Amino acid sequence: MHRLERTFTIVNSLGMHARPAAMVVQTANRFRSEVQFEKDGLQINAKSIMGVLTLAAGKGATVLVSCEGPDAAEAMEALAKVFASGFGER
Amino acid sequence: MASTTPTTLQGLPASPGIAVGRCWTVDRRRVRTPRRKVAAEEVDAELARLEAAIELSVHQLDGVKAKMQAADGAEHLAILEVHRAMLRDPALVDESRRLVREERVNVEWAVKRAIRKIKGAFDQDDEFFRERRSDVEYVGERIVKNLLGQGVDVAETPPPGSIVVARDLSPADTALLFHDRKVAGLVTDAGGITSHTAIVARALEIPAVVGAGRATAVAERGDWIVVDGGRGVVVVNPSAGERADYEAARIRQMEREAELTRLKDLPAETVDGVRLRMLGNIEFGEEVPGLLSHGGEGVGLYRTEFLFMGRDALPTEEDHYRDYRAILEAMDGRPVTVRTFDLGGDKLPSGQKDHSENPALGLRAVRYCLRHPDVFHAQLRAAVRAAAHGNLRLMFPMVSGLAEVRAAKWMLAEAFEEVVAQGIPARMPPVGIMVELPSAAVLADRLAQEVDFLSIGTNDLIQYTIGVDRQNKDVAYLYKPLHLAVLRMLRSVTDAARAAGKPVSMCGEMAGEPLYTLVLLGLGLDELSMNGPSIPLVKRVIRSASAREGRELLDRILGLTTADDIEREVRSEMTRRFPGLLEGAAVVGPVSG
Repeated sequence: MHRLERTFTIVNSLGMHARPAAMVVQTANRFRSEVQFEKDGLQINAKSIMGVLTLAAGKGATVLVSCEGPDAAEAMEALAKVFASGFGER
Repeated sequence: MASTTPTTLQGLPASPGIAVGRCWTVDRRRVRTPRRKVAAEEVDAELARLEAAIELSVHQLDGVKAKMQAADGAEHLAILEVHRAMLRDPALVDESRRLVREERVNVEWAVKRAIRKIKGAFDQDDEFFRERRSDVEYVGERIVKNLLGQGVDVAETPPPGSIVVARDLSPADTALLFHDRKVAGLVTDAGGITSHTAIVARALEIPAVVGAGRATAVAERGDWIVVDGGRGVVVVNPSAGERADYEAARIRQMEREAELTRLKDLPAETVDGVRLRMLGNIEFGEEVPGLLSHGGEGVGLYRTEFLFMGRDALPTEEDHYRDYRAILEAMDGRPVTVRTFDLGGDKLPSGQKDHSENPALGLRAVRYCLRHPDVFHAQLRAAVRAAAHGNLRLMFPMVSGLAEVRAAKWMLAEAFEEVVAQGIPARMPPVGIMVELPSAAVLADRLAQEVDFLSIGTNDLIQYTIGVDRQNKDVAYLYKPLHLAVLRMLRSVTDAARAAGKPVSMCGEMAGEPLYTLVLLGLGLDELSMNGPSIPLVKRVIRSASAREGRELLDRILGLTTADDIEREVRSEMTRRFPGLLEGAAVVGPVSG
């Protein structure tokens, strides 16, 4: 089993508010791997909208993403796209 | 008992506009959650009830979403999506299941406790967390009400024109009440101006006051009620006089808006068929929707300096690129004129200071950029990359002569070739210059040969031509847009552009001031760029004037000498032709045609 880690920066001006949170949770749930986010020492399950919302990650914040499981690489790649797009915002 | 005494409540202005109508109270009763112990053999049945209640809740939210339209605002749909995701969240479902299994409590109580625990994680006193706490609460309430077989969402439809009054509204209630746009206004006892309900009210342009305190205690169904969303005022049972006043104010407001909308899509075309393009001056992407709503046909001046403001590090190429691209996409194919940094003088990145004696004549704008090629290069790379995604035009400020234009264009070509060589999509944008130095105005005929368009920056051109700093109280009186020297300067620029077959625009304050519109028509400008809200009035003048009378007025004032005489002449002509215009009232004249 492979564990991948990568750090992403929140680039959209509103940060990871409600809509982006729903977006990342939907993405994480497409994969079988476990996906965790960590920010400022707080670690949460990225498949949980409640968890992702508690991070309240604003613009410029960095989030450490870890994926572990059979499709970890695919999950990481999908999340990378979501983060890089600024959740489709600016 | 219904009170007929007028009561005025002060709440928060959540969505502007005035509404007068009959009150429609919505009773969102809080659910009482029963608590009991369950026997070991009941556990599976309880867990099955939880499954069923979640299933039903998801189904209900899907039903609400299906009634909505994309036009109701992405944020609105997103919140329903968040609630839907919360219904299946492991933090809620797993914890509820655990409580039923391990503590043998009924599932209603288990859900309530799981929700309370989740709310604890959002226990911070800021707007974002407050909103999320209420999201979690609404979700828990929905499940519990479904478990108890109680109705969850508002079931009755208010009569058209009603004012909805509620203690608070869930996003689902908000969707159901407002999606058909028949409600005239909204008042809630609770909530803040960033609450979901307030956001939706603004998106749907429904006048709304939130945080009104005790509106539900004062108002009863059928009472007359006034909502002044711009001031956050609610009047329950207004007197006949008050009602009439508000009704009149509402009609005035609607007329103003109708006027604006009617003008928005009409061309800025004179009665003798000269068509101008109305553009906007912007500083932030957030200004785009406002510009479009005022009928802006493009961006004539996008000031890029703000990227430098309030930050320690220089903006990166990516910062620029993202920013330009977002604006280009928001403008959807309309031209966006990016002015390269107008830095220097009083505008420098944090930590840098210009200590020269005379910064206005110092190292600024294109001079600064040519001196700091790394800063300039990043901006130019970003511009050619962004140009692949829309109608970008690039413009250099403070050009004093040909050498600067050539140097800047050379750097642009270099950036373009570099980007292309890297296999990154790019496009070479049209290039223009700001004409804001007398030297550039005098050389406009030569400069026009080198560029694709000219844009006159009147604020600086006037200051440099007359040699006056308008911030200096002692000499500010000399700042005269209608100074004969300025007019001659302007005319030589527009003549030069016309002779070279190049478009010429104006992006200084003069462009947005209706007093000068006829003169500008006489000059034969192709585009006027101003702040969005100035567009409708200037457009009205253009639509009721002819270019010919503009030329006649221009010829007349070019025959006069002093700025005062010229201004008197322009004023009297404008007052004669457009009575009320200069007092800020609506222009009298044909609108359609």
